[in-house]
Amino acid sequence: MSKKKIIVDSKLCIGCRQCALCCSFVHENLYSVNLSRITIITNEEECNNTPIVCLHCDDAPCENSCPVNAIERNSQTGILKINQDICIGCKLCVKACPQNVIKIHPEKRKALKCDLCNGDPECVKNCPTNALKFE
Amino acid sequence: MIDSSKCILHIDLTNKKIWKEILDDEIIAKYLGCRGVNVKLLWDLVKLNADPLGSENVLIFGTGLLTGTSAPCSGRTTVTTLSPATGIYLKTNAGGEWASELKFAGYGYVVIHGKSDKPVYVCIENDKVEIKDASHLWGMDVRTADIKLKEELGDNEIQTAMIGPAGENLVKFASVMFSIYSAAARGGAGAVMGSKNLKCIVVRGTGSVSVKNPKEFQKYVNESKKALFNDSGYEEMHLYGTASSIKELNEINLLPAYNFKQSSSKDVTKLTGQYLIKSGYLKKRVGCFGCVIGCHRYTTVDKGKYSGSFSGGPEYETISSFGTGCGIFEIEPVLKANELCNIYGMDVISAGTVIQWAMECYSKGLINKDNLNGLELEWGNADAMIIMLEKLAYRRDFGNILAEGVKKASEVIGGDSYKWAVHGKGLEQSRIETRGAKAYALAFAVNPRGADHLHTQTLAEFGIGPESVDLIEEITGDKKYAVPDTIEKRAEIVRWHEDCYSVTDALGICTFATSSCYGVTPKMMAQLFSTATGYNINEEEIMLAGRRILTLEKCYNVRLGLDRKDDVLPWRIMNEKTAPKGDLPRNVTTKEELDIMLDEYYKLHGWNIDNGIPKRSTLLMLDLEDVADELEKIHRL
Repeated sequence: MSKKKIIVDSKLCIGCRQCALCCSFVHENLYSVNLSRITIITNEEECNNTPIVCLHCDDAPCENSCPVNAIERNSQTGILKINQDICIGCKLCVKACPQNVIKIHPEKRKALKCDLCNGDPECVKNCPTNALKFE
Repeated sequence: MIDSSKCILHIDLTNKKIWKEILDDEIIAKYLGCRGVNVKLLWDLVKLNADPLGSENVLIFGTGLLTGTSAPCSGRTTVTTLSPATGIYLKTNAGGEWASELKFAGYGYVVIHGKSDKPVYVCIENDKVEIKDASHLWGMDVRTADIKLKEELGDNEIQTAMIGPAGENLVKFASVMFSIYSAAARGGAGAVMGSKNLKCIVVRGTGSVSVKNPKEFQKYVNESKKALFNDSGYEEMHLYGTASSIKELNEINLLPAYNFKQSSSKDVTKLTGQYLIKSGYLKKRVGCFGCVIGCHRYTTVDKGKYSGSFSGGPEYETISSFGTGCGIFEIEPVLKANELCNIYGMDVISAGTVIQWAMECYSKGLINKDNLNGLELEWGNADAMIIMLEKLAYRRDFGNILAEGVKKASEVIGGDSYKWAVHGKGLEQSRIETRGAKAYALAFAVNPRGADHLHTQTLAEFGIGPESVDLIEEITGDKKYAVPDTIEKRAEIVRWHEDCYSVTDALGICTFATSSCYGVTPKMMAQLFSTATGYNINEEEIMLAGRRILTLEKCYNVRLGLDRKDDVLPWRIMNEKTAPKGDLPRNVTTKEELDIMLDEYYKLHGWNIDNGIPKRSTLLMLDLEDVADELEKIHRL
C-alpha cells in the first residue's frame, strides 16, 4: 500500500487552481483545468472549494475494473499508475472510481489519473495555503 | 505565442452577428494585452460624440495576456468602454474565474457592439457562441440569475459576467459582476451593458493555454511566486484581507470618515479585518483564478437583524464607504450593504459616496424628509442607508437623483453641495485621504478615469514595509522620500506606478502582487512576457509599453476635449481641513501644491505643461504617430 497520500483540508482551499495548473503543466506541458489530475468542486455562492484527489486505494476499483490490466501498482510506493501503452480508453475505470477522479484525454482517448508525480506531487508543492499535504 | 490571447470575439447585438478577429503579433508586442489592447480597440471603435449609453458605444472585455497560465494572480478581466458616469475613458477590472474560462474557451477578448431590442444573454461554450433570450432573467439579482443559469444550462462550471437591477436601470455606477462576487465596479460599465439589453455573458471553456517556452516560463513563475511569499506584507493580506490596516490608518489620521469631513474616528474596532475573524463573520478566505494571496473574503451574518445575509467581501473600500464614511461603526450594516451592492450590481465606493453626500445635505438642511419620502437620512442611520441602497438600484424616489452620481446630484440640489461632492472628473473618489497622501493626490488628479486608486495606487509612499522603502529609493534615489505628506518627488513615484500598473493589468496580474505586495517585479513581468510570447523584451521596454498604454488612455480623453484644467482634486480635499481630533487636524492638499506636482509630472512625461497634453515628440517616441496625427487633425495637439 501507499506510504504517503495527499491529505486535503478544504477549509484552507481558496480555489485558486494553482494545483490544477501545475498538474497539467508537468503532465501535459500546458495549462488546463480540464486536463488536470486533481479536481476542485466549487460552490460559488458559498465560496466552498473542495479538492478531490486520487486515494490510491488499497483495494482499487479502477485497478479491478480494467479489462487489460493497464493500471499498475508500484509495490514499493503503492502508487497506482495507468500504463498509457496498454490503456484502450474503455472508460470502465472512470465509471468504477468512487472519487470520480479519472478522466479521458479528449484527444489521446486514454485514461488520465493522478500518479502522485512519482512521489513528489506538484499540486502539493504549489498549494499556497497548505490545503494539500503529502504525508 | 498564446493563441487564444490573440483571438477577439465580436458580437453585434443590433444585427445579431458574431465574428472572430485575430490580432496581429505587432499589436501584442506594442500593447501587451488586456488593458493595452482594450484601449487601442476603444480608440479605434468609439470616436467623438458617442453617447455612452447609445448603440455606438462598445463594451470590451479583455483578459490578461498570462491569464490561464500559472503566473501568480493572473486571472483578471479588464472592461473598457466610454463611461456613462464621467463621459470619458473608462477601464475597470475584476478578478474571479471568468477570464480564465474565456481563455480556455479559446478567446482573449469579447467586444460587444450595438444594442439588442430585447433582453438577451450571450452563451459561449468553446466554439459555440449564441445570443439567447434573457427576458426571464431580466430583473433578477446577480446571485439568483447565476443560480438560474447554472440550473437551466445544467452546468455548475459555467462562469458569468452579469449585471443586476442597477445595470438594467442604468444606474451610473452599476458594476459588472464576475463569478458572482468579483466586481468591475467603477464608472458604470454595468449601465453600458444594461443599455445594450445584455444581462450576462456566460462562458464555458474546456481547452488549454500554452506558452512559447514552457520550461523557462514555469521557472520564472516559480521564482515570482517565491518572491511573493517572501514579501513582508503577504501574510497579513492573506489573513486579514484588504481591511487589515483599518485601525492603523485611523490612528495616523488617514481613514476618511463622514464624507471626508474627518480623517479619523473615535472607535473603528468593529470595522477591521481582524474583527471579522474574531466575531465569526469570516467563513472563508478566497482567491481568484491563479491567485496565491487569497485576500478575498466570504462572510455571513448568522443572527440578529441582518441574519441570513451572505456575500463575498467586504473589502477595505466597502467598510470605509458604508462604515466610517456614513458614520456607522458596527460591521453588520456594512455586511448587509456589501451584499446588496453585490446582488444589485453596484459600485460600493460610488454608492457609499452618494449616500454620504446626501447625509451631509440632510444634516445641513439642503434636503429633508419631504425630499426623501419620509426617510431620516442622518449620519449613522444604518436602516436609512440600507433603504437608500435599494432606492438607488431601482431609481426610486430620491434614489433616482443619486443614481446619476454625486457630481450630477450636486448640480440638481445646488447651493454649496458641490463642496462636499467628493469626486474627480465625475467619478466618486476612492476611500483614500488624499490630503495626507500626496502621491495618491497627484495620481487621482491625473487618472484618466477619475479620482480612483485602482489605476495607479502609490502605496509605497507610506514606506510601510522594507520593500516599499527600497522601491521609493529605487525610483527617487533616496529612502527619505518614503513619506506620504511631502510633494517632493511625487511625479516620479506616480509615473513609476502608472507604468507598473499598466503592465500588471495588461498581463492580467492583480496589482496586489506587484505593488501592494511587491513580489512580482517589472523585471519578472518582462521575463514572463518574453517566455510566454517569444518576443524578448527587457524591464525597461515593458515599462515603456506600460507608458504607451497610459498615454493612449490620456490621449483618448484629450480627443474628447480634456486638458490640464480637468486634472484637479475634489473641492473639499483642496479647501477644507478635516475636523480636528485631538491635536491632529489634517491639512489640505492645496491648489498650489497640486500645481507644482502637475508641472513636474507633465514635464517628466514630456507633455505640455500649459495644457497637460502630450507633445508630438513624446507620442513619436512611444510609437504613437497615428494618434499624434489624429489629434493634430482635430487641433488637439
